[in-house]
Amino acid sequence: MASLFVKVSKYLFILYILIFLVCGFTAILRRKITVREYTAASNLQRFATLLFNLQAFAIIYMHEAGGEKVMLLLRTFGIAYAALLLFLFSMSKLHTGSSKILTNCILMLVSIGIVMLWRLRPASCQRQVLWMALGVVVMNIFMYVFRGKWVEKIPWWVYAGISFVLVVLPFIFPSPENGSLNWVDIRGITFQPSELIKPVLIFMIATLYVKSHRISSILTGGAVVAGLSVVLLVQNDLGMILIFCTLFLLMTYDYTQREWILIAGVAAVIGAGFAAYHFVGHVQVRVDTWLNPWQDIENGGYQIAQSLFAISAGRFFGTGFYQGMPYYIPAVWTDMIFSAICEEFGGIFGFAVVMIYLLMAIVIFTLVNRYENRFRRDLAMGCSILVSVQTCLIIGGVIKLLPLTGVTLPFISYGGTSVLSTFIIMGIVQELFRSRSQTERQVRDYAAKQKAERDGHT
Amino acid sequence: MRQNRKPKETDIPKVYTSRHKKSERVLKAIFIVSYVLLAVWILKILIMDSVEMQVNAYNPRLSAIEARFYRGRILDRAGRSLAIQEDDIREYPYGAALGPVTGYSGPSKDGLEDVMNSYLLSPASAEDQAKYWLTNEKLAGCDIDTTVNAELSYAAYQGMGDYKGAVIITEADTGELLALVSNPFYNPNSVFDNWDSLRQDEDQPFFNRATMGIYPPGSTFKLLTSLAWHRSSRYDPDYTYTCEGYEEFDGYGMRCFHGEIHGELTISDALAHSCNTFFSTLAVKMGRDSLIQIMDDMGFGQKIPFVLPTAVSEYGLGEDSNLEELAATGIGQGKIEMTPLLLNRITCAIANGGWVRDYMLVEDIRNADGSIRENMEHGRREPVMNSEEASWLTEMMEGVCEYGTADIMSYMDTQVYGKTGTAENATETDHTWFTGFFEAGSGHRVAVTVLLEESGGQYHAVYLARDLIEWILTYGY
Repeated sequence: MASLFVKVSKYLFILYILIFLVCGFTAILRRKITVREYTAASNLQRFATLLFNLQAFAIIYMHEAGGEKVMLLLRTFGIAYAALLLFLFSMSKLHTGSSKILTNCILMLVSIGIVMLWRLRPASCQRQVLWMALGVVVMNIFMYVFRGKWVEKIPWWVYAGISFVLVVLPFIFPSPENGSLNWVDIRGITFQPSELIKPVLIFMIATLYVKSHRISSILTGGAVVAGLSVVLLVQNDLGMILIFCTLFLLMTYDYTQREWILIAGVAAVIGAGFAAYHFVGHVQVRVDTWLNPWQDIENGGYQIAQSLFAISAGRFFGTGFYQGMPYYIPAVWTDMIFSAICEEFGGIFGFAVVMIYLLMAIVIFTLVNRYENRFRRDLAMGCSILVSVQTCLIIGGVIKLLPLTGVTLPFISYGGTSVLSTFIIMGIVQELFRSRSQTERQVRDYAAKQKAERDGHT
Repeated sequence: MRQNRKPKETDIPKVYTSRHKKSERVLKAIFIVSYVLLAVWILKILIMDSVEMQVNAYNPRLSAIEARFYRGRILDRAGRSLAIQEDDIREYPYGAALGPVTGYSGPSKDGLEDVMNSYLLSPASAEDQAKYWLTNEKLAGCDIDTTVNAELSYAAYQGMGDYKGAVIITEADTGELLALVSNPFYNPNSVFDNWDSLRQDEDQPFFNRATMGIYPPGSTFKLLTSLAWHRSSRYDPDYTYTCEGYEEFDGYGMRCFHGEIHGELTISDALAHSCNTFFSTLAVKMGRDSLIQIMDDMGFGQKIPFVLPTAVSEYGLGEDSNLEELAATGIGQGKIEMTPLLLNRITCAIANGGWVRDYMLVEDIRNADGSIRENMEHGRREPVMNSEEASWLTEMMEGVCEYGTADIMSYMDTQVYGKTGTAENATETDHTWFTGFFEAGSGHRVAVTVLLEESGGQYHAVYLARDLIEWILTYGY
C-alpha cells in the first residue's frame, strides 16, 4: 500500500509543479491581468506548493516512522516550515508590494531542496534549515535597512573593502577539516565567505555605475573583480571566479550598451578557460571528462557519468521518491542535487525546475525594464544575472552541456552560506519590488489628486 | 487666493523612464535561450541517451534491477535447462558446450544472457507486472526457449576433443539452430573465478569461432566455384579436364592434395575427388568477376542476420588480384576467409533447393507459468540460387559422399550430401572442414558444418560429422 502511494505520488508531484508553472507563466506573461486573476494564480501556486510539501513529508515520514530519526525529522521540518511561513508572512504583510510570484518560486524551490536534502543526507538537511531560518531573519533585517535612502549614498570602496575582508577571511581563520582553502572556521561555525561576496559585489558595481559614461567606473570595478579573482585563484575556487567575472562582464555590457564588450568578454572567458586547461590540472580533467566521460569513467568521468545514469534512470516520470539510487553520484547533496531530483521525480519535473528558474529570471527582469532609479535598476539586473548564471552553470554541468563547475544550485543545493547569500539577494529584489509598487501608488495618488484639483476648478 | 504654481519636476514621483535599453532585451534573450537549452538538453538525454545509459556496464542501477528478479531460465528445444537461477547463483548445466549460446551473466554479460537480458529481467506475467510497480517483492523473469538441442551440442563438443574449431547444425528449411559449438570455450559456471587466466589464454576461449571466426574455406569453396561455373556464359555440361597433379599459374604451382593425379575428370568427379588443378583452371577460365559475383550473391561482405554478433566473410579478391590469387581463391585458399556460419548458410540453401531463412536461435519467450509471451517468427525465405542449380550441386555432393573424399558417409542409413575441405593456413597443420546435409527422418533436412582447426588429415572433420549425423539418426532432435 505504501509502495502504491509512492508510485502514484510521483505523477502527482509532476502535476503540482506543472500547475505551479502554468499559473506562474500565465500571471507574468499575460498582457492584461486583473489583480484578482493575479491573486488567484498566486494562490493556486501556493496551494500546489502546499500539496507538494504535504505529500513529500508524508512519504518521508513513512520511511522514518519507528526509526531513531523521527524526532530529528519533526524538529528539522518544524524549523523549515516555521522559516518558510515566516518568509511568506513577512513578504505578504511586512513588505507589501513584493512580487508574489517570486515569493512562490522561492517557496517551491526551497521546499524541493529541503525534501530532497533530507532524503539524501538528513544531517545536512538539519544544518541547512538552521541556515535557512537565519537567512529569512537576516533578509528581513536587511530589507528594512535597505529602505533607508542613505544606502544609496554608501561609496563603492566600502563594498570593495567588505569584499576583500571576506575573501581573505579563510587565511585568518582557516578550516582544516574541509580541506579547501575557501572555508572559514570561527569557533566551530564553518562557512564559505566568498558566497557572501556575491550580494556585496552587486552593490559595488551598481554604485559604480550610477553615473553614466565613465571609463573610470569600469576600470575600478574591473580592478576589484580582478583582485578578488586572484585571491580566489589561490583558494582554488574557480567556479566563483567564473560567476564574478560573468556578473561583471554582463553588468558592464549593460552599462556601456556596447556589444563588442559582450563578444570580447566571451572571448576572454574562453581564453582564460584555455589557459586554465593547460595550467590547472583539475580544469583539464573537468574539460576532458566533459568531452568524453566514458573514456576515464572510473576516475575523472565518474561523477558526470553517474549523474547521467541517474537522470536516465528516472526517465520522464522518475523512479519515485525514495525509489532511486542517487547515492552513487559524488557530492549529490550539493553540486549534483539536480541529477537526484531528475532521477526520483523524473525528467519532466527536472524540466519544470529549470522553468521555475526561468520564471524567476523573467519576474526579476520586469523590474529592470524602464526602472527610473539607475542604482536600483542595476541592482535588479545584477541579481537576475547572478541567479541565472549560477543556475545555468551547475545544471548545464550535471547534464553535460557544459564542463562541470563546482557551484551550488540556488535554493536547492546544500550549503549554508549559499542559502544565506541567496536569501539576501532575493531580499534585495523583493525590496525593489516593494519600493517600486510604493512609488507606483504615489504616482497614482498624485495623479488622482491632480485630477481632483482640476475637477474642483471647473 | 490660491497659488497656482506649476509643480516642479522633482515633485512628480516617477517609476519608469521612457528609455528602452537594448541590453535589457539582449540579456533577457540570452537567459531565455540558456534556460530553454538546458530544458531541451534534459529531454535529449531522456529521449536519445537513456536506454544506452541504463545498460551501461558501469551503471550501478543494473544490479539493483537484477536483485529484484529471479533471472529467467534459458531452455533448449526439449525444455532442458541451459541456464537456471539457483538463489544467487546462475548455473549452466552444460557448461562450455552451450557457452556460445548462453554466454554468462554477472558484472558483465555475454551470449543470450547479454542479448536477452531485458527479457530475463522482465516481470513474467500481468500480475507480476503489477507487483513490480506496486510492491518490492522478488519476481521471476521470463524464460527463453531456444532451438538448440543440448544433448546434441554436448555430443558435438565432446566429439571435438582437443581440436579447436566449431560445429554448426541447422534444420535447413526453418533455419533453427540445433547446435552452435565452439571449442575451446569458457565454462560460464566459473568464468569469473578464472577471469584473468581466461582473458590471457592464447586459445581465446571468449571467441565464438562458429560466428566470429573467419577461416580459409579450403575445398568446401569448390561448391561456389562450381556454381560460378554453372552460371558463367562459358558453362559447358560436357566440359572435361585432365588432371596431371600439377598446374602452373603465372609461375605459381598448384598441386592436388597428397600429390594425387586424377586423370580426365568431369566436374562431378573433380568435386568428388576434390581436384585442385581442375577448379583452379576453372577459376582462371571464368575470371575474377564471376567469383566475386558469386561470393556477393552468397553473402560475403555482408553481416549475416543473427541474434548474436557475427563476423563478415572476406572475398580476398580485388581489383589488383593477380592470376595466382585467382587460382588460389578457386580452391578456397589465398586471401579468402569465411565464417563457419556462412558456409552453413550456403549449405542450407543447397539443401532447401535454393533459398534460406535467417537463423533462429530464440524460439519464443515464455512467462513463468509457461504461457507464450512472445513468439519469434521464422525468417523470410530468401532466394540465393535457383532450384536447378541447387539440385545440380546436390547431385554432385551426393557423389562426394558416395565415391569421393567423404565416401565413409555411404555406409550410413541415409543419403548424405556433403563436401570436405582441407585448408592451408598460417600454421603448419591444415584445418579440416566438412559441410553437408541429410534427410533427418523428421521430414526436414539438416545441415551440418564442422571445422576442426589444425587437425591435419582430411578425415577428422568428416568423422565428427558422421558421428553427429549418426547421433541425430539414432536419437532424433
